[in-house]
Amino acid sequence: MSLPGDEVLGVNGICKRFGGVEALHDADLTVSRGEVHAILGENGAGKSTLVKIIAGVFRPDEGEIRLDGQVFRAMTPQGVRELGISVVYQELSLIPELSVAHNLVLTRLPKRAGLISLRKAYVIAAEALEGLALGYIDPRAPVSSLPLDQQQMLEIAKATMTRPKILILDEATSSLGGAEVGRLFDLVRTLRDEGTTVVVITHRMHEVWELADAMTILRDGATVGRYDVHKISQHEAVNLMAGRDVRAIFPEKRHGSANEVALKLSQVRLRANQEPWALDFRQGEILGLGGLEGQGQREFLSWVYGIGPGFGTLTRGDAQLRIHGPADALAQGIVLIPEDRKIEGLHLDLPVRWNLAMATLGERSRLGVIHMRAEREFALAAIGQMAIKVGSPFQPASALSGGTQQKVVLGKFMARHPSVLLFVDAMRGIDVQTKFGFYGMLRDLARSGASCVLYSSDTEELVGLCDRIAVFSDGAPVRVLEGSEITLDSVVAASFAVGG
Amino acid sequence: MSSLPHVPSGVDVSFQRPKFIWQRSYTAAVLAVLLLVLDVNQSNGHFSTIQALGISNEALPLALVAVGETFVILTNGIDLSVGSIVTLANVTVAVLAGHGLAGFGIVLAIAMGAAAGLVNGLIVCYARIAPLIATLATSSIIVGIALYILPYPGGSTIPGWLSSWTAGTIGSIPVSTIWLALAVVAGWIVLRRTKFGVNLQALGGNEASSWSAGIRVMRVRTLAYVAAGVCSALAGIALAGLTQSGDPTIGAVYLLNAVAAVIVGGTSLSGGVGTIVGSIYGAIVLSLVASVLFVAGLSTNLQFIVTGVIVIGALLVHSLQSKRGARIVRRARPTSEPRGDS
Amino acid sequence: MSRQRRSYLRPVEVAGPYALVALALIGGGLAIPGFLSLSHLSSMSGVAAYLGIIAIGQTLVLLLGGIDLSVPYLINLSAVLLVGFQVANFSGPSDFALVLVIGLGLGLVNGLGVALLDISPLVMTLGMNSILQGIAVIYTGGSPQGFPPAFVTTLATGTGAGIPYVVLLWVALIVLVTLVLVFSRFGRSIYSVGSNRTASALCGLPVKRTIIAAYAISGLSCALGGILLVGYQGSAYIGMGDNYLLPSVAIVVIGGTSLAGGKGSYIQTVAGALLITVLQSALVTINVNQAGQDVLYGVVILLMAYFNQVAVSREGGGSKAWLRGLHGLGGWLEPVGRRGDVVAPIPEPVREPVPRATGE
Repeated sequence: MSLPGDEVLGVNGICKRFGGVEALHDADLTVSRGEVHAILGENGAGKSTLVKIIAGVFRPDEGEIRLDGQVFRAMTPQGVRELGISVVYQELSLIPELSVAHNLVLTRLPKRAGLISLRKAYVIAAEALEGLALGYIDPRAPVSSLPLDQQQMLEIAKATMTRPKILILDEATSSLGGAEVGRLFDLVRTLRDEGTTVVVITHRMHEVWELADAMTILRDGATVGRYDVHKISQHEAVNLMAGRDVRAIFPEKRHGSANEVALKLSQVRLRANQEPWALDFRQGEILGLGGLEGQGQREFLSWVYGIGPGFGTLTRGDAQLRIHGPADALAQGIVLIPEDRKIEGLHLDLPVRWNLAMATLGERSRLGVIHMRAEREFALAAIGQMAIKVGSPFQPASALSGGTQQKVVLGKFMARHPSVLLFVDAMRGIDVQTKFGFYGMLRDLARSGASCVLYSSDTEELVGLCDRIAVFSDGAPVRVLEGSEITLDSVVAASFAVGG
Repeated sequence: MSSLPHVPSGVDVSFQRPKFIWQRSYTAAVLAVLLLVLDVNQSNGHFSTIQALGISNEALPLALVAVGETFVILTNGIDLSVGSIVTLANVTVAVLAGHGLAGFGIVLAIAMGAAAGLVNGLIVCYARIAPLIATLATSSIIVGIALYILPYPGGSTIPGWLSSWTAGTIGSIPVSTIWLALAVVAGWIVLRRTKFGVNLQALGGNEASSWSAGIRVMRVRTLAYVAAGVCSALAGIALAGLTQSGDPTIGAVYLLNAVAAVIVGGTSLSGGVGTIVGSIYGAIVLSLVASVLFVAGLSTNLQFIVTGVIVIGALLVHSLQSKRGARIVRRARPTSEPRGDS
Repeated sequence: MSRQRRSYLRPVEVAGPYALVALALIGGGLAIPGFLSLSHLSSMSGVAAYLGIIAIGQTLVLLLGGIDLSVPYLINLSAVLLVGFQVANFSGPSDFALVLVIGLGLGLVNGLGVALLDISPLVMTLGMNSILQGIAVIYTGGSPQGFPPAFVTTLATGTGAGIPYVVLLWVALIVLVTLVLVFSRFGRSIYSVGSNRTASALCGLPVKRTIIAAYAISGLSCALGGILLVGYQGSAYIGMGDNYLLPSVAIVVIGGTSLAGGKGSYIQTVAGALLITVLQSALVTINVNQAGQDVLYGVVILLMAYFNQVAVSREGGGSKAWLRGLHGLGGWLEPVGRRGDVVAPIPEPVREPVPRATGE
């Protein structure tokens, strides 16, 4: 453990419950003045909740928060901002139809004779942008006209404009491409040199070691400890985050390379002006799509499933497949497990039974009428098989926990006995236990001959799980690593390679 | 610790000059001018500004209601009670004018409009009832009250001064044109230059972010409904001056036409995008349709079809424009419920 | 926490509105002599039947999360077409069938606009209403001439064993619609699309076809309603459908169907129709004038909407729910004034608090 220097932000004994679920208990945090402090933890460890409590969005059930030694309580987001703490969340908080300037000065609209002075607003905005080397952004432009990574930088500009004492970045790099990530790192270093304290929440380990001075590790809602970055290794940190030796939990990979091609994708062009490329999905293997965020992994999977734009040919054996939408894909034995299960995967208000049956209604109906008894038996069987914890099949899906919900999504699509499974970051936000169960299930699926294609934002997960990894950059795979080539370093290195 | 490759910092993005952005309200403005020209040209053979302005009398009440409705639609809501508020204001003025209290009647009508809007806003914000249903219910209540005040059309005792303030002329310019121009200016100022206006747009654009920016969302939303109530009341008062009587059924037709005017004007139904000015142009467009058909020698019965086509067409044009222009923003997921998506 | 649920709808959701209907009937029966007489019940059920039949389409469309504002002139146009065809000497039954098909087709146009062109249902149906009005006005020159075929008049006004034929027709339709909603793939699709359009598309459900079909059925049910109306009134006039738009939405909402879609049923709409009819009939009988009726009508809608939303929602059950609604008034001054965890609803990102190891 490292000894904190002059404490600027201190959090002690925070407890927070949501309904029956305890998100945080006894969470502590000590941030020294002028340092870059990282908060690490698995998905669901409580990092975001802790930040939201500090930011005034949630009120803690117990515990205290100290700023410069002063205890503060019952704050609103506005109040916290006025105290000098700025937060940048992963979701954009910009108003798309308003101009850049409007967004930047929204909380402090400059006035002249009672009415808003646009000129002053533009001047303030331009100055703020200039200060962050974002001078190329026109303050008059509507935010919706900017590309996503510029919007994220704008988000950060908004937070740093007020020269906050403490800047908190909650997964702020997730929408940024390679170049922007670099710029953000420079910004963080500049801010630290100027005396701002920066708190960074990320699940990208390499970012922590490159940027941070100290870290706090959370696990299952409690603080494990505070550590000096130079005195702890990544592996030790990962173990502390998981509470166990991590290496043992990935199921054994396949030996040797897969031979049979399940789906051949050729002449693929996801974006305009792209050189066509090709990739195979092979039977019996788990193929990972790696690389930084936003490099085309999601677009690729969307295109294969028929819900996103792109050009290319899909071939199975000799036959060319025409996939214009999910119905076609499903008919061909291809399923997609979506990223956001609440919005894309589940019908939250509908019963679990209906959710499970949703993708296979045709199998249990004749002339358009659903055979209810068959559906009931199907649902009960699925619930048993996947160990879905639910009181009755008619409970709405919203009543289930995150991991159980994901099981329902999986169960729904597994009922189609698919030969190709596409996973869009499906393990995000799942508790550790369930996740490990999924890993085992994925491996079983592969062993039974299916082809699993997995996009995950968690590089360790990819490295531990996949037989092959196609690392994406700028909309196309730049390297395909196989077997022993797959290591954390090699994947990360390939992610940063400039597209050739 | 293995050394990671150094990230080259700052790849320069080319300077972005804003292209000329075709504002949504321009479409309605162009359409309005077009129809205006057609209208007057056909009947005279040459363009007379004075005649063109003659449409103001007809367009004024609709424009006022449309302006009020715009405030509400900008917050991603809808107000179905505007027609009934028009009626309420109208009969209130008529009845009180009959007792010689026209001035008081006007003040009372505006107050009632504001009160109705307040009730709407409170129901929507605090009882959390969907605006569609809430304002549908209040419209029934308000119509009932109006019927109670004036069961049958009547009241020809509207004082002359009210008529000249609404239907009269200054020189050869109709007073209503001046009111319309004032409405345009006032609308622009409120929406673009006041805190309320900017907050309104923010609220409609991204409610969750507005919360975290410290905007008093409930207050802004309620004020929008109050504004709608006041504007509708003003329209009812104007109608009293224009038609010189009170009528408990007068407001009914204004609801659908006002929503149509707002849509033609380019305001998006999901909120955040739109202008007051556009809605006024939209009202002018809709008021001109019957007139243009008449002078073109076509059956005025066609106006309904033309109106319907214009409304649907305008929406298509606007949504095509925004699809081409904007990129998809990954916005914070709203906490408000979805509003009629399919 | 998880009671054993046996079906999609909770019994209270269906029983609630019907209990209110029973209350209204009992109240009316106590206060008004002859209120519960067979002839009065029969006439009330007849009135409710018109409303209920027209609201079949509106129910389906609202279950999808949409709305159909073209109800007034779908009804009106069907009525004038029917009498118009009669004047042109087509045969009764074929006129009937033709008008129904036209209604279906017009509804289909609504559906195409909403599903394929992505036009907001509010705008599409609003515009269509205007267009249909134009067609009706042009076709009839403003004053429709002619009479409905005899068998339609019989259907609309006749009774068998004291029960109006319309009511029998309505009962048959209630059974049909309910069977479809509960047992068919189409019905399941309606609930699914209304609940979550994106997820439904990803599962391969025919989203667009479902939407188009629902609006088409709305056109059909309004056409049937228009035919029956003109059969009842003996002639058609411009504006005869105007009074049916708001009630068609109101009774669906009173019944408990959510405006956002995915939750509700036609059985509930039926209860809404009965409730409104009984209340209005009682008011008319005790000589409350139109003004009073309108006010009461609005108040009932507000109350039912509030209780349906607050009292029967997943989390908020019980007596404290309405308190929570009122407490929001304190929030007028400062967001801090609100009780509860969330001071400002910044939504949770994909990661959410996870149950401790013991729970899962």
